[in-house]
Amino acid sequence: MDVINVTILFFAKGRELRGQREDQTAIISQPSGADLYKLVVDKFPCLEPIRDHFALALNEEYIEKSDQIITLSEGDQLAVIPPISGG
Amino acid sequence: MGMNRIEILSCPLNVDKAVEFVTSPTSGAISMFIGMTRNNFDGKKVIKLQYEAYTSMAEKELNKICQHIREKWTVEHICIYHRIGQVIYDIVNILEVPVTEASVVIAVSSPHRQESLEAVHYAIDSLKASVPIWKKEIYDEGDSIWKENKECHWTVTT
Repeated sequence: MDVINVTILFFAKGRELRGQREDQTAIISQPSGADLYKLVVDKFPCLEPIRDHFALALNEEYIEKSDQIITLSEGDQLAVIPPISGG
Repeated sequence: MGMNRIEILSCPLNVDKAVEFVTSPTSGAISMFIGMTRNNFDGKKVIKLQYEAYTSMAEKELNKICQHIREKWTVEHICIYHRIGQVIYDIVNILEVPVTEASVVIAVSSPHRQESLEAVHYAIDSLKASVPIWKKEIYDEGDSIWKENKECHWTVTT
């Protein structure tokens, strides 16, 4: 299975757990939405404390935790979005 | 033709500018929501607030909110400002005059009031559910917490 290099962004609690705002990671190119959530925690075990409490965004669009296949491209931007508190 | 203005700002928000932007001779109503920073939570004294945004995505999500408003209601102009960065309370002044700042300003104009009132209500509820902006409260005893909106469906506390 193809592997793709993506940029991954961390914010708020996620940024503090990771200790940085941005990183690169290699991920299989066609995971399901649900698999992608699991893969991100596998790649970044520091996210364990928030594993059931974050959303993912791919190129600034939320990804559903579903069976739907996501097609990743080289250089895509993935973001870990902890519970939001704007307003 | 209705216009949208969306700004994520690291300086104090200007409520007058938001009103000015949405003012129009064909609109008989301007409705507004102003979210204010609070200097206390559960009896704890907040000395500092730290706002962080995924700015590019936040702007996209705010644009989607504007689009949805225009699909549902007949409104003229929409203005949404959100504060990021740090809001630091003056601990001396806090005892007498609590320093508060606007964290979010939403202004909508419409020919008739019901449309803009409903649109503003929808806008703040949607913002709290989907726009990637975070707030950390730092307390006078040295502890701190990232807040979580109850409207956010992946929040821990629901």
